[in-house]
Amino acid sequence: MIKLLKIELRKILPYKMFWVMCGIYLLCLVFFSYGLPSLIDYFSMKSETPEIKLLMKFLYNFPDIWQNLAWAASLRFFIKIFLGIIMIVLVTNEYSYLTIRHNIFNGLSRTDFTLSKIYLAILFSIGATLLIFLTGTVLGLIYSSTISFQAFFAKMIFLFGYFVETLTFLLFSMMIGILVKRTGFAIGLLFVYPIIELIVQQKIAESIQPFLPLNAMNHILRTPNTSLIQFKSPEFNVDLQTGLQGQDILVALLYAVLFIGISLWVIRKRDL
Amino acid sequence: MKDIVLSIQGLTKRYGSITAVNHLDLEIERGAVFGILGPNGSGKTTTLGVLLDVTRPDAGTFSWFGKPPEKAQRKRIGAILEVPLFYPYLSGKQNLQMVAKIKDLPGDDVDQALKDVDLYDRRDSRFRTYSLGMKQRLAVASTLIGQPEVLILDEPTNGLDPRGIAEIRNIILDVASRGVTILLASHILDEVQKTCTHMAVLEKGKKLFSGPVDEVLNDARWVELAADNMANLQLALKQVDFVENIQEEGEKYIIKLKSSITQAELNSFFFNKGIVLTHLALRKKSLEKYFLELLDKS
Repeated sequence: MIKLLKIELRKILPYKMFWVMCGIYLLCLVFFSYGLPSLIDYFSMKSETPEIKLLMKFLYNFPDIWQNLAWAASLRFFIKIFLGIIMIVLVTNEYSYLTIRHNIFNGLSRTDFTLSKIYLAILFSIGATLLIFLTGTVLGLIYSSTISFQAFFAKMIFLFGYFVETLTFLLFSMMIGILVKRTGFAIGLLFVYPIIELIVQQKIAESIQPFLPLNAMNHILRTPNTSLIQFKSPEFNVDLQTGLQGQDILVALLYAVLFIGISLWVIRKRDL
Repeated sequence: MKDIVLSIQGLTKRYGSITAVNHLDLEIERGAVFGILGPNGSGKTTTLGVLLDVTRPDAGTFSWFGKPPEKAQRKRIGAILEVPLFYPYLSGKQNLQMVAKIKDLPGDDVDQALKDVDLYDRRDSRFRTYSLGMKQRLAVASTLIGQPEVLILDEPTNGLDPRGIAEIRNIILDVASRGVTILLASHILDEVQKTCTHMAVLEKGKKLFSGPVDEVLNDARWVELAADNMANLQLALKQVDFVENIQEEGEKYIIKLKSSITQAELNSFFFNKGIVLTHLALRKKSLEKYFLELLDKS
């Protein structure tokens, strides 16, 4: 495992495109977690409405901040798609440069090759989770009204939920990359797939709708029942989440296994 | 006992309705420089792809070093398949270090490999910036890492200028002299003739011939003749019964003999007829001629 990860790092650390994409992701994260709330606050201050509620005053309160950030970062059609694109590019590069052949005939097995991409997905998920942790820590320490040991660690379980959701999504992106092989088409599919799933959703029984891949992933972190939703509409009775559910995690992990299985099967079977 | 490095039985690969490789059997002994010869599309690259686990066969088996073809065996092989395959954004050196890493090697011979192919000065330039010839040389360098027991070279001189071709040929011969088994696919007959000890000819995925190159080339029945008086020579040739075929080529006659006859016998025969030969040479049959003959027959 260490050997395969080392090989992967040799491929990506000197790769400028990788750092550019990571940089874009980081900018997006900073903008949506800090920049956007600041802007909204700025304008609501200016508008001088009598009942202004400043976002900054409660978005970043420990311990809700973990849930708020994890939820925002894992929204479909949102910034996490950048993580998916990075994953896809790193997989499809191997096909467009034909280096997948080079890796195999120099002495990786086809399983090794797939495993190395899976390890990469795990590594990125850990990295993305750490990034949310750091963002939360910094913003919380600056803006949280309560700063205590207890408040800091409570609800941190949502970071684990974020990790599972990101990992499943990255493995999904990896599978798309392996199936489609072409960078452009694969990224296109990553954007189009959520729409396809929405269409499929209309045609199937309501009881199985939550089990469609993206629905299942997104169900781990739902609209938070925290200060954030209270700001939106205290009286709305929407799907409020107070904690993680074991079943959601399980379903997502089953999907992760399925994506890995399909990827392994395709790589073993196909001419490279 | 023969030390068989590679053994192939009944290898078949289809692409839709096209059979790219058709029940191929082949055995390669240790130390051989084995040429796989065939026109474009004859199944050479497909065969090598299967041997390197890049292509999945539809039928047949093969073994490397008497063992089933697994990654451990591939680590003992250095290979070029069709085009140089490297990460364009990595330097030549970084790319070779990656190869060493995949093969579980320390990579301490990367610099030497770069020197061998005359790329040491450009080792830190990105692969993307290399010329076609440099890319091809880097591919050759990657096959030298870790002193492999077998080299697989698919059209290694593709796209090189004459000097590059000569350089690659010298590297191949040098490596071969160290006892490394070499499997060389080419559609360039000259390349096979100049480097190989054994060869197989493929056409439409079928093996037309395999054997030592000498067996093909040392066909002593073609002789070049010239004399002061060419008219007399021609007259004499028409009368003798051991000549099967006469061709005129410039200032010489090329004759095909019915049975083997030594140069001395030929010389004294014409001398007795009063013809003084100014030129007498056995002609090695060119591989090209042999190749075309084989293709015609098939």
